[in-house]
Amino acid sequence: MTSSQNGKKQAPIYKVIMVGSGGVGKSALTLQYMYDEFVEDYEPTKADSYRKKVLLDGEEVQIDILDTAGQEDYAAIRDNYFRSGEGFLLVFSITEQESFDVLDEFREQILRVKNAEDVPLILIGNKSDLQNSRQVRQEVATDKANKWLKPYIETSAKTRDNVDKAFFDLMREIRNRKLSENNKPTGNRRDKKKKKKCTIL
Amino acid sequence: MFKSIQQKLKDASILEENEPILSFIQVVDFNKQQQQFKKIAKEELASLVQNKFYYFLASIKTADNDSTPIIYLLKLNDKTNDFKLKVTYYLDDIKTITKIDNTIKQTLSNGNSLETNVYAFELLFRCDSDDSLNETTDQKLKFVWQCNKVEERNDFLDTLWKLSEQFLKASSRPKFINYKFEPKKTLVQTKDDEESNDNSIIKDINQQYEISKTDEDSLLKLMSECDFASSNAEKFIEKLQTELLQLDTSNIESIMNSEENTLKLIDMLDVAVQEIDKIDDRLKEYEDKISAVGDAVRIVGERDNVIQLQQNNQFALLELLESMIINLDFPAENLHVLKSLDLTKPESIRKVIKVANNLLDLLETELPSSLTKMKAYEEQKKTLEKYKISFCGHLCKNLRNAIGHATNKHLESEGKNDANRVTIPSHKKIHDDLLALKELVFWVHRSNCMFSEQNQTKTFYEDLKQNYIETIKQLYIKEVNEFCMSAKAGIAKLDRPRPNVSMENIKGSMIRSLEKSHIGDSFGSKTDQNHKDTLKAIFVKLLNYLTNAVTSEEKFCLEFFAIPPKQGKLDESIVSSNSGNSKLLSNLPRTNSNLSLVSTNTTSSKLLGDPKTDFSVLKEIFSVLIEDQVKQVMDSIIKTDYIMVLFLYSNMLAGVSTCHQNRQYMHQPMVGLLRFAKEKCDEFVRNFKEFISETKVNRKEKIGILKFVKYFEEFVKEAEICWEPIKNDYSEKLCNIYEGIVRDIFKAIEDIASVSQKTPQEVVLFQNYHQMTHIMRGINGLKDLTRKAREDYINWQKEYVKRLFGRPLEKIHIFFEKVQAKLDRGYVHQDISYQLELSANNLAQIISEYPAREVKRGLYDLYNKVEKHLEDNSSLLQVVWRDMSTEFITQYKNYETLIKLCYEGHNIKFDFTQEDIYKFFNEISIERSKEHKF
Repeated sequence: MTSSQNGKKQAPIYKVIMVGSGGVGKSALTLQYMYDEFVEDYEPTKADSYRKKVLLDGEEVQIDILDTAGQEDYAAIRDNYFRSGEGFLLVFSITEQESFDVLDEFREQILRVKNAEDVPLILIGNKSDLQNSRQVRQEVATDKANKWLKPYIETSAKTRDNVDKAFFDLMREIRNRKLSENNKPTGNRRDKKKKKKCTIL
Repeated sequence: MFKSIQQKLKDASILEENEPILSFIQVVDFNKQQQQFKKIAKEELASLVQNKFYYFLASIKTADNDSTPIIYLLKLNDKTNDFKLKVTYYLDDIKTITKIDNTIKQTLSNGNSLETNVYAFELLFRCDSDDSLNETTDQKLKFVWQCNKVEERNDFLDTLWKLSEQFLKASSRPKFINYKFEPKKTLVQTKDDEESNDNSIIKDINQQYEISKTDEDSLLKLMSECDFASSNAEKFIEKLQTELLQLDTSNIESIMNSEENTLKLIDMLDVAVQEIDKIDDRLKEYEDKISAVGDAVRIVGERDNVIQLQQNNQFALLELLESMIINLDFPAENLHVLKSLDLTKPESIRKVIKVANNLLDLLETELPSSLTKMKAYEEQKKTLEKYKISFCGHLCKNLRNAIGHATNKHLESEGKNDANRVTIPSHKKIHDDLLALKELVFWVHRSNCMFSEQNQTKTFYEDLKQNYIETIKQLYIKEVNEFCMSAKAGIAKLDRPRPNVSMENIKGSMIRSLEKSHIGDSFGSKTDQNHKDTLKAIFVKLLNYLTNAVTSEEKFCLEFFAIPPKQGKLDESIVSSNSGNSKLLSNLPRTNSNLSLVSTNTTSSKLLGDPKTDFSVLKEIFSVLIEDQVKQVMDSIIKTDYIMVLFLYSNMLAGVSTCHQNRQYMHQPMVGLLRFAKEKCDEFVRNFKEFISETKVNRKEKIGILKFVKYFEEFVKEAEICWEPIKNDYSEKLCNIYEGIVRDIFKAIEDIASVSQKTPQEVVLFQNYHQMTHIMRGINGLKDLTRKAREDYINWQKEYVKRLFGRPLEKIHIFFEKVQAKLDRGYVHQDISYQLELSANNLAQIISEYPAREVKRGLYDLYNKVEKHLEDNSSLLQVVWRDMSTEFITQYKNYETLIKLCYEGHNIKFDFTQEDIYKFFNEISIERSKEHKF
């Protein structure tokens, strides 16, 4: 509840949430990042969490990854855990147009829940090793990311291509966001609406 | 038949040896018979005729390559049954041969007429050639002979015809009248016997005359040449005969005349024989004389040989003695070189070595055993031996001094940085100085000189070696000790102040070590990692320096004390010759057993090409020094940070395999150190396992991630770092360690969960299994155990959610559980509301106990409870809460469905909708996130 006694010394925690439809490879990306392993068998996730200490640009930090269910019975449930996230990887499969299309909804939900116009977020086109079955062209994905003013990264959980980059870039986004928030007067932080306005400005 | 007759005739000397019987016929003199027929009756005739049987015989007489057909007329004496030759006819004497076949009709005296078939032939001879026929003159050389059988007669005529055809000239052939030769082909076929006989005759003839085929040819030629003159032949023959007669006569005359001459000749021959005898005697005399001279010459020759031999022997002896003198000569200047023994300059060292080797060569020269018995030889040997021993002693003293000098020089130069030694000083200078003298060391070995000391006999070589070992050993003890001390000092600096002295038992230090790295603070763990790296660096450096020092020492010793393989064989001969002559000793050197083995071992092993190098010198120098010192350093490292055992163990595994591959002496202490490190590592693991199984928790306290799970994470982290360089070869060893620990941890988790009171058992289980999954994931050898941990985590989390989610609507939950149970037992939906305890009123009342506000509070409480159950800051909170929310909504919808089914029309409704529930969750999460911000 309250931060631990040696809170000052503790490594900062970055809470990352994996978002996207079922089967796009959220768990695969997470496991590859955490344990350097690639699991071939597909087993739908309900929700699982992972924690790891890493060096981010020389600083030791702790990353908490919440791997969520692509197929959520009650979409509203997502609100609860989206709220706890500090950064989001919006994952789609480049071999499945629909998984790409639904991301707009996810993003809107995140922004709504976080009550912000901008959150640390990266658009991830996974399964880049399956170029032959590609359905979502890179330019299309880049366009969407540009529209969101977010980066777009193509990854392969199978070949580990860009996997570390995706997580580290997101952590850097989160770190930058935190820094900019800490620099603000404390009074502003209490009111979220105000904070939101501040970011716009 | 022919054969027996032939034999008989030959016995009677009628026939000559090679005269064959070609035809044989019984005949009767027809002329006489005719005369008597008038008087005698037929019967009488028969007996008469029988008495007067004659036999004709046709044959060929061969003489002087000339064959003449002959006909013999024989008479058979009935009493003796012997043949008697009556007349011999030559076939060419016969003028005509007439075949007669008549039927004679006779009127006998008794008035009967007798008709007889007469088979006969008539022979008409030439008048001039008939000498012996006296009684037939009236008949004018005409004979008629009657035969009994027509076949015999025909046969006989055939033979005569054939003979005349074959052997007579056409002019002298008899004329055949009333006869025509008919080959008896048809007849032959019916009568086998005759045919074979007939054939054999012809064959005989052929055989007889084939032999003289060449003669025949020449004869024929002659005949053909003379044919034209055949008309004159008779005259010619006549002439020849007269001439021949004359010649014969003159021959005999001349023979008679030459008798006198012959007698004369015989006399002359007698005289000649006498002369020859005389000459023979004289020759014998000469021969005797010659052999006497030969003997004399031979004796002279032998004498000459002996003189030559003597001369050769003298030369050989001279040569031998000269070579012996050369081989034993040791000039005074050489002696001077040995005595002055200047080892300061390389060229003088070379000179000394040359002279010294020359001395040994002289001593080792193999001379014939006979020479060695000479007094002069023995004296010279003794002198040389004396030189050798005195030089050897002198040399060894110098070499010992050189060793001492080199060592002192080294100590002086290194003395300055004694205090804070960070390296083991290189001994290169010592080695270089001494290697300049290595050939002298080999000389000492080769000389095999010995001396006595305290009733012990030692070779100078062994003594020298021992001297080096002692000197250098002290140096190493000093240097290695200092180096290890400085290493230990470096380690001690890292030892952080001990927070709790009472924990300073082994287990305590284990906990401290694991705790140190664990404590979640980034600063702490970072410095801890730094400390670990420093410790590792110190140890690696220590081992490297030691290995280098030992390796260069090893190289030096092998070179300095080396015995070239070629000389190895000679050693034995020196030993044998020396032990005979030297008065210093009679038994073989028996010094330090290890050292005495060195010389023989290296020699033999090198001779045999044995790749196993002998390390006994190094063993003596380093003994247990390295093992002891490194163990001390290891101990202090372990004391500082117990978990470093993993590093030490893994590092020694790698080190030993490297040394083993390089066949270094360092392998020996390394094996000891590996054993030590492994023991320490095993001890650590054993303690860790004990710690796990002995962990007790206060059941009244909240249980989060168990301590040993956290420790295990640190253990794995460190072990993975340590095993990274050797994972290809030894990953199995590490996996075995892991597996043992993991199984103990699983068991301990279950045990602790079962006694926990404040924290639900499920929470203890799923939190710790979740953490274990996290730790073990990515370790290849632990796939199965990881899967088990993950399954347990998922299952126990499910159990926990199931147990708790009903809480906010507890009574409703229980009510509907009963409803569900009834339905499951087969009740119809509509009937449920008629059950007393499940009546619509009851339900309405229970539902009324849960107004929306109350439910919201319940959910809030539930969230708090979960948060309290779980570890602080648990990343699983979101996971569990998400599951609970989902489960809650699912159950709410289930209740609504059941109400619709079972309580239709009772107008029963919850005080809140599904939307309300989302709102509650939302509010809770907003609230929580706000709290977290501060």
